[in-house]
Amino acid sequence: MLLSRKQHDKLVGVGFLTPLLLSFLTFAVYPLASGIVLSFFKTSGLHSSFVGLSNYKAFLGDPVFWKGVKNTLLFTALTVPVVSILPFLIAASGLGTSKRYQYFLRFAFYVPQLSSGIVIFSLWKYLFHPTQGLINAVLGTHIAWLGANPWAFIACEIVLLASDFGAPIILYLAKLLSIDDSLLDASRLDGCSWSDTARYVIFPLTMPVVGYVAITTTIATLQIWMIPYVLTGGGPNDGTTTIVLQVYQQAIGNGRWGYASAIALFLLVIALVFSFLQRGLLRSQE
Amino acid sequence: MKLTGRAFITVVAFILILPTILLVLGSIRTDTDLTALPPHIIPQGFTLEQLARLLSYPMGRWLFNSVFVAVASQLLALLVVTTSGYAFARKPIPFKEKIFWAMLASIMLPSTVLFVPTFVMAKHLGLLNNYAGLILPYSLSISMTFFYRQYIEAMPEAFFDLARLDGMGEIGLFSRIALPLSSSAIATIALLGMLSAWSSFMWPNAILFSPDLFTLPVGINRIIYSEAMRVSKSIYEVDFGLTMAAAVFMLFPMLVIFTAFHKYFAKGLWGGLK
Repeated sequence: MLLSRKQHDKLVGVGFLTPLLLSFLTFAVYPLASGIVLSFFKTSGLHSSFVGLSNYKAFLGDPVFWKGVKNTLLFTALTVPVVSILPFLIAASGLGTSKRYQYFLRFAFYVPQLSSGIVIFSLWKYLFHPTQGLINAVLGTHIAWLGANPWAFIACEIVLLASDFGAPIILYLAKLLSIDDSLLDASRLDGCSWSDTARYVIFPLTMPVVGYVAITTTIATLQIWMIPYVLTGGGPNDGTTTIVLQVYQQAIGNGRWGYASAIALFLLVIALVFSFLQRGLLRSQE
Repeated sequence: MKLTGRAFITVVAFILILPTILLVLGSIRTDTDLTALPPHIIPQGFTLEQLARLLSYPMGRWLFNSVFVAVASQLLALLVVTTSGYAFARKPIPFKEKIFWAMLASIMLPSTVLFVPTFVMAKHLGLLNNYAGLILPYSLSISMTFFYRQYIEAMPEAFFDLARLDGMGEIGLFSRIALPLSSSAIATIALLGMLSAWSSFMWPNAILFSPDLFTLPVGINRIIYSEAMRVSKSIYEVDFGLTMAAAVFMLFPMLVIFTAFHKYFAKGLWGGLK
């Protein structure tokens, strides 16, 4: 049977797309669907039984869960504005410097990301140690950083900011360097001051990247778990517990997969609300 | 203005790189030096005792696992990303844009939502506690597919037309035109993917039980706590000397790769946003 050129092309296209389609169905579509189903089941060992909405009722009635929600939202609210805006200022101040200098900056910002988070966070634990830690030594204080509220939360937030900083700087620097010099020259010839150029030329061109950083940082921070997992284990008194830390503890620690799935779906709803809000906000500014 | 900007950015870079410096300095300090009161930043003397302690664990085995998983997962990811990116960019596919947007929307999905059901699925498929379970999930990399599609779309159609006139088949067009011409995009995808596989913790820590199969982050996480747990159960107790030696041990291979290929890191991040 002879196929027309178009049909032939379609067939080839579907063939090339098949690996991704299989992977997408296996590792995204199926888990999402089965996660929704799972959230209505109670699992223990190999047995699972349908329990309707009781997983949802259970976590919605759990004060520890709501502490996790509060902490997660607070982490997000404190982190996203800083991580979206401050790296932009840092990158902008790196403009017009030498190539070699820009390489050094990329290097400095990238190196901390090359190790594994789990190991770097353990190092922070050392820095925050009440007696042997350098932070108390430098500040001349005797704070039990990880053992008392609200210090434990503050310590986690500091680590979060420090580890979220590097990547946006590199993104912004790359975007700023990609702006055509002739555009900047033209605006100067048109009599724009530096602040005008920043406002009418540089900022509108960088806005999509700011939006990208804001949205990805939001999604990432809503899922914060490893920092409290390493630094405090969620304590003291659940002062640093988060939504995802509870998902992890319930699923892997306790084998309560249905319950953990239900919490994760609650997080999905929060994430969707946030991304719609941010999209609306970014669009209204354009 | 420029000078203050430069001073500012240097201070920030210094703060960011400070933990790394402390790490390297800490890894050559003795335990008594590390826990001295009051603490001090400059090491008093030099020792390889932490490294020796670290190497008494199966670090070679874990290093092999980490490297193997990073390389194998990225070979798989590249196969999936290049074929699908090419198809999206160059081929008419039924419902192409709808499929593409559905996939793009899935980036918004917090990975936690998929974590538990994927774990349960892996359990049923026999993917717990083996290499396959570590590697297969890396086949899904939507943002890299998106990036690669853009890259292939930017190539002039004439390249493909000429090759077609020469009688080149579909596989040839892909493997002898598209792949070689996109080598820098491929390098970027592989490097970024390798970095994420190298530092990955949540998934490997959940699915691995036998120490033989641990990747470096999983193995290191176990030993720094188990060492300390023998002494005390306080939340502060981590074996810091061992932690620092381990961190340097993990940093080093990536540092070599990063230094050798740093232009791809910058280029990839940059190109991906255009």
